[in-house]
Amino acid sequence: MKHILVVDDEENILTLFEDELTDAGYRVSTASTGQQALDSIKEEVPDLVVLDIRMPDMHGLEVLSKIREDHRNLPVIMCTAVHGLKDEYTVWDARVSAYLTKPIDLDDLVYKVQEVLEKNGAGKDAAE
Amino acid sequence: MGSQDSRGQEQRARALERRVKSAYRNLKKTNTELHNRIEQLSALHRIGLAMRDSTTNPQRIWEMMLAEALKLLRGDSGAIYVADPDGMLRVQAAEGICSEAVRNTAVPIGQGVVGYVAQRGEALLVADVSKEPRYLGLIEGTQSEVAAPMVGGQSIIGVINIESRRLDAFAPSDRELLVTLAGHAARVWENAMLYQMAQKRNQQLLDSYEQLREAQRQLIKKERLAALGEMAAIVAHEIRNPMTAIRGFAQRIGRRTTDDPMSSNYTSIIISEIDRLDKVITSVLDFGKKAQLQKKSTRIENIIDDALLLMDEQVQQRALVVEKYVATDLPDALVDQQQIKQVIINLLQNAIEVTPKGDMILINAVLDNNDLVMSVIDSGTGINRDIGEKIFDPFFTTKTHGTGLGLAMVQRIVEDHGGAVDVANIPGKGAAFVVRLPLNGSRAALDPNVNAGSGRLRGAAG
Repeated sequence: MKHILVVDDEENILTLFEDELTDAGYRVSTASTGQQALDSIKEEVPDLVVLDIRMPDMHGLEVLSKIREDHRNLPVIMCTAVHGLKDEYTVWDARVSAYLTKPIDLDDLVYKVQEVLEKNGAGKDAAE
Repeated sequence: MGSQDSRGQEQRARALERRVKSAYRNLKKTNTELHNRIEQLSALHRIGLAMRDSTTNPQRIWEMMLAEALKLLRGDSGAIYVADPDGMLRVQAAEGICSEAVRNTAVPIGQGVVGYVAQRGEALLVADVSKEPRYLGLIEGTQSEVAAPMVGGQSIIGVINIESRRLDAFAPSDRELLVTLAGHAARVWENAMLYQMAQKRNQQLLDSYEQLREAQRQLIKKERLAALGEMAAIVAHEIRNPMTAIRGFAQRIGRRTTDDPMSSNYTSIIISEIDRLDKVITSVLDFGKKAQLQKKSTRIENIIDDALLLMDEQVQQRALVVEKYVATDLPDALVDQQQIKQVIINLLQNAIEVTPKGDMILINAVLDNNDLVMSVIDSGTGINRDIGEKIFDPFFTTKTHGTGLGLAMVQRIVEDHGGAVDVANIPGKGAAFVVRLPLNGSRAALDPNVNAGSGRLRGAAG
């Protein structure tokens, strides 16, 4: 069973994503701050991270760059609230697996997660 | 004694008679002089009256002054010359014999009698032109002439010249009279110049005031838009999280209640309402964003057709007739295709909403003064006069649903293209939205008298 870490400061969104991804057949753990997310990854590296870009303690991109220090190829899906944010962070593009724009359609969420996992299944980082 | 007395009386009588005759002659002479003087004074008075009104065309004042001078000096012809910056004396007014021939003459300062007078700044009386080497002989038959300079504050403005076909026609007193008149003429010229300068300055001042006001208007608008964009981004973040939760949970409930039609109907309503809300937020965000124009040379008819295709479903639903007219001589325009398409879509959207079922919408594109002029004319009830220019303000709307950004976006895009958008009511039809775009990408001549048979809203709407 693939393990997915969902990171968002909104409790309701964590509940929503956890329930939906669990129903879709994944093992889900959650973190509501950037630091919690990093701690959780240190304890157990998930197969995929769904990461909100806007959190009170740490910007999603800062969290991502910290993840990248140890895990170059860990798949990360970023959640943004503003369309077009992508363009401003082109530099990060290569290392973000996919984007989801809020309000997120649940079918989209499951589809993207599945797609990214399939794509990464073949060339998983040997170091991990 | 008696004869001596009578001889004495006779002598006295003759002496008296001589004295009376002499006195009469003097009186007559004085009377004539007085008459001449009155004539001169009244001529000066008339000139003075004309001068008081500095707005009078200087040309007319010169013609009048020349006519007075001719009459006073009993000349046969005359002309007023004015010096131009190149040192040429050009005839501004000519009267009398051969005036037509003289009218377009120019004499260099220093040449001829007139040129000499201008150079020296002194009047000159020529009793016999055949003995005057400087005489140029512009007018055949002239025997004598008198010329006086028009002296301004700094320099010689020009010369008044009066000629006669008689020898020795002018007295020194005539020369002095002409000097006086020339002085008046100089003042007329200076007044006229001052007036023109003041008027020009005034116009410049008015122009820069207008420019300043326009710049200020634009600045306020830009600041408002920037603030709007910033706020929209913040609000979007705050609102899209709860929207995600609402939409997501509704989706999950919907899946669990497929056997309960009412519940699944309700959840699908929640989802579609969230999506509608999201469209509003997206359009506010788009509006706040400073668009980067991607200009390309484009066939306008293609953009119009694209927009019409996108709106076709709505048009069919309301059984509307859309009449398109695109001028055959319309050259390609340098525009951002997507954005101009958005402009047409927004205008069509409004037109569709206000046009009664089965009625007509006109869309035109024509060339006017090197500008592309597009208009969308609906068959609605027109725009209320009170609304006026507010119609283009962000968030201004008269609809129950609508963001109030459609026309604001139209104006933004059009102005980004260096163009202008205007609206007017067309009697017997509806409202006409008129977009004017410069074809070459530079600023359009913002002529308010736009094509498509519309006037400005402020003047014509009702």
